[in-house]
Amino acid sequence: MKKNIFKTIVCGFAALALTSCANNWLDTEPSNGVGANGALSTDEDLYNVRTGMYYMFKGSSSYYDYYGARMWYYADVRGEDMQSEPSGSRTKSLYNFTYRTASDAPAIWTTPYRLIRRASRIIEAVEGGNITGDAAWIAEMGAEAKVLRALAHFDLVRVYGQTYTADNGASYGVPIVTSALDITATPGRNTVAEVYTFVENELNAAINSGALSTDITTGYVNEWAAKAILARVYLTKGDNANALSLAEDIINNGPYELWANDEYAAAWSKKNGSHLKEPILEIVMTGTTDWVDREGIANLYQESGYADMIMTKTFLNLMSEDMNDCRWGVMVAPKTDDFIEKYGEDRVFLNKYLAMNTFNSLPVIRLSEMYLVAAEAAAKTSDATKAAKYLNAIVLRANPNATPVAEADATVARISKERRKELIGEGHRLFDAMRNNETITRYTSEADQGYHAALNEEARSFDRTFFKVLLPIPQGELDVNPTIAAQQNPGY
Amino acid sequence: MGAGLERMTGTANASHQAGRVKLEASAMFSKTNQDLSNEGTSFASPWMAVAWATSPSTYPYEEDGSWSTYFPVTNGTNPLQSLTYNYNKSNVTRSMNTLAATWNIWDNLNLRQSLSYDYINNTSNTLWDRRTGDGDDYNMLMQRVIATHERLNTQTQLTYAKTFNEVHNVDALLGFETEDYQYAWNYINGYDYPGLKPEFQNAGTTAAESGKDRSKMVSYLGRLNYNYADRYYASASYRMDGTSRLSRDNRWGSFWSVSGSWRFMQEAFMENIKNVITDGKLRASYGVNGTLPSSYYGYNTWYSYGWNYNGMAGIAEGNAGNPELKWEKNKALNIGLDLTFWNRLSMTVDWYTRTSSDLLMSKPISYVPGFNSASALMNVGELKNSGIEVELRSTNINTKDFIWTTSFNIGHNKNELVKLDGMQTQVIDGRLIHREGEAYNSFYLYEYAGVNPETGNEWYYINGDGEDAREKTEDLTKVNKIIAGSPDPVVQGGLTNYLKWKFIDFNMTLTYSLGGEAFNYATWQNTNGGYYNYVGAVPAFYDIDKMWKQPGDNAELPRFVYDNLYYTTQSSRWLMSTDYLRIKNLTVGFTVPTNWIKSAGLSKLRAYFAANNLLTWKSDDMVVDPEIPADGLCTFEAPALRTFTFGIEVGF
Repeated sequence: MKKNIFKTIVCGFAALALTSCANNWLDTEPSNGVGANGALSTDEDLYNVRTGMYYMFKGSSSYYDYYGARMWYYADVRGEDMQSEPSGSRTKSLYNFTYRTASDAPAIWTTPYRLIRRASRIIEAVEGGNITGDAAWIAEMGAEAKVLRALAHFDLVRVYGQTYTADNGASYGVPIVTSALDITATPGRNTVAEVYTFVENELNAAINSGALSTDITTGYVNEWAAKAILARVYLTKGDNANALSLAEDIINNGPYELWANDEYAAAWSKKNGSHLKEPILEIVMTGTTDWVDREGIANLYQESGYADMIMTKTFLNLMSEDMNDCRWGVMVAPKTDDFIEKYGEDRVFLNKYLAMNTFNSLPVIRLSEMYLVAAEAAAKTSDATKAAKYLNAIVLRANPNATPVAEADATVARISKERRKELIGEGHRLFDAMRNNETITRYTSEADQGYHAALNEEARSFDRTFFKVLLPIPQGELDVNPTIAAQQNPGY
Repeated sequence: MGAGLERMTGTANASHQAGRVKLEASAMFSKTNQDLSNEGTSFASPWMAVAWATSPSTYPYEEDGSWSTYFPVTNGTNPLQSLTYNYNKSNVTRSMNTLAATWNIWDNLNLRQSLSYDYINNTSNTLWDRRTGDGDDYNMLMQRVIATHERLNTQTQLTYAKTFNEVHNVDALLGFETEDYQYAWNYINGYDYPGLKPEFQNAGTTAAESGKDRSKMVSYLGRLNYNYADRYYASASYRMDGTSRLSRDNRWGSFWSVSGSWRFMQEAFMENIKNVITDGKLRASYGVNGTLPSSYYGYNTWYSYGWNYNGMAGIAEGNAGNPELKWEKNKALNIGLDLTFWNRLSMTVDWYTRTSSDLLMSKPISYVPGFNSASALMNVGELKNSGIEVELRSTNINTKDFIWTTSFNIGHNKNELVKLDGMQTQVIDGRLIHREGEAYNSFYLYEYAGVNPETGNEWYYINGDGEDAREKTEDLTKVNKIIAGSPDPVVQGGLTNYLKWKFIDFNMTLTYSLGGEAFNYATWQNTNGGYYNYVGAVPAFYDIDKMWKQPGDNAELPRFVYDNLYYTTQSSRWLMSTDYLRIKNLTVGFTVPTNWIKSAGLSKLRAYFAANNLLTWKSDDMVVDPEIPADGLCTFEAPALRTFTFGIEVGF
């Protein structure tokens, strides 16, 4: 009897031992991937994960709905200065506002959230404190991730949420994500104000941590980029004092300089010696293994590429105020017969980003924008001297022989006009108009239609009360996320 | 048509008894060379290119014997030229070996340990010659995949069988099994060849990729069978399986089954009808078993490679892993009745219901967590299959020289989607709909109502909620789709007849299916000659006499007009009945009488001829083979091939 009990116990233990030994034997990993603990243990690992995060920032031929292409043209093609070229198709529905429901509208939703996830993974790993290696470098990479995560939230809330100054941020924004959520998560939207608070806190934390570099770090985030993004955030929010002080900090203390009048047209190319003077944050590409291929913004603007967008007659007329403006240097007339037939010698194609096979860098934020931010913030805080000073830096760079703008004339409207001329094609117009409650008018009658396609009434002239100014939350999200399905933007 | 197969197989078995231990070894080796043809649409696909894209006015050779290029539909690519120069060959080498030892420990207690190793090497080569439509863009393209599959199985079994008091029969089994499966592949491609020799040394540009997959399983099992005087049977089994495809928390699945049967004809009170019903058994069983997820690594989110930026390679999470992934569960209940009449006619009826729950489905997920995939594999979903199967076997004639047996079976299965993903009650997938309460694959189409005698256009039933539901209209914006049918048949089964006279044996098996429909998915041929009227491709569905010609005609086919805007490819007009009867197998064999061959040391010598898929009777509107894909959507699938086999069996 005793022997039997003894035998049973031994067998039982053997079975248990077999099970745990079996468990070890049954652990398998794929040959083309590593688990999270293998991916984030040293600072070298973190460096590779950081590269993976920047990939989502740059975009690719599959992920072009953010800075691959769409975030660049979104605000411009919905303004009055750029329009969809009829032969293209990618920008058309954003331009003519013909989408009606969440299922047929374009979206800038999935890639920003993918970027947020990758950034959150890095931040979690850095804050967890278990990565071995150079502490300063690790902290720097963690801070870079914070900045990119904040930028993604800011861009999302600008596209999907009502502009802050319209209702003080009370309406629905986007879900704030601070960690890598799991597959069953279905978060709801935070308010615009909450998102702005989050973005400001994240950017301030990154800047104040001192971990970010203060040198020019081409292709990556540095402290000046964080400050520039924060300046944009404050300006959009209406916190002009903070916007002004940050912009001035960058202008006065940053390692950047404006491109000179004679450098301007050529400096857009990364191969030009003066190129590195202005870009505060830029996306770099080196070859066919890390480019965005044909879907990238560079190819969409080029006449020899997809020729998806041209500048409007309205913009050409605006620029015609001064034919010696150096910014004509990035506007080119058509060279192929079909386009010459349509546009004659009008310089409708924008050549800021060059052709895709030059693998040119794309400046997301430039010093010129900071001058204009400072000017606008100063004008709004009634500091006409500063407003004129910063505005004239841009006006006189464009044409040194132009009449400088007098202090009394350095109004928000005048600055807005200069923004249109300077920042065309860089993704600003719609956001500027919404922030300052301007009306965008494409055309009013056949007489001033220019090259515009026939647009619906609602698309010809609108302001921030037009419901389609906000994109609808995409249908794919509504189908699986009942929380958000109840929070769709009005009108859809 | 560019398809062919040759195979060489050899097996050897040996066993040896040494005292209480018996050793067994067996080895199997086979080598198969196969010429594959493309299904679907490509210049090299015989079904598409030859059967559809050519018309009687095209011709393969010019008058001087060179290749013709008069093939307007395929832009001048000559399908015969493609078939001659292109190839898709697969060479499979397989070796399967088993070694087993059985140790008779004591009385009827045996311990058996077996080890088996199965090795398959599949090297396939696909060549797109420079002279063909597929290959000229690449200046000849050669692709090779070298794949090896290795499976190592071990099995340990402790068995005990004993009879107590002459009436209690018990047998018990305890087992431990492991399986280790490895799959490794290497892919090479080369293009830009200056000449015609395809080895990769000669290519201008080459590229390569490789990968490995591994799946392992460990199982513990036990089974107990008991019967009392061959009259009452009961058995129970239990097993625990652990798989490498799930995370540690969900890795082990417990499965069990119980069954019982009662040979009621052995009972005393059945004596008086025993001369009619010579044997009868009532059976019931219930069990739970599990199915593995097909994804090997879906239980975790992995960091993958290739996320490059600024000239550097980055890593990032590449998939949406689910750590909660678990076994799919199948619960099956089976009740059966076996009856034998006059020792020559037997009947088996089985009623079953099988519910599969925790079914794996690619469920869409929110974009906000930022996964690299819009869906993740999750265990949601429940499916139920229930039905009846009846089999009749009869020994019609049984004399010394002549035997004739017949067997007939018929089965009816009903498939029902019980639950989808907990949120949606239906998912529309092209022409199919997966709706809760219906068969998983159901066709979701407009209901075709014939030809409008006034205009010659197609008519559809409105099928809306209003009173006009059964009215007909041409206007597609007013019509609603309904569930118009399903590819699942109502009944299917077979009939086999076996006859043996002296030394000749003959076997014929028929298979049939009734109910069930297929959808003609080659939609560009179904557009009434509208937008997709490819130059030279003759729409094969038109019979001029049956077409509508003038108002007032009650025609069978709508009018044929180029660029006709009144059409749809989503109506029940394109459903075809899959009813069929097929001679699946016909075998005739000749056995040499034993006394003739005994002197040569042989125990058996038989030669046979067999034909498979010899004849098929099917519905007139069924344009493809009635053995359709499971979802019922048919385009250019290769039909079941008619094959003829000759063989010799030798026994020593």
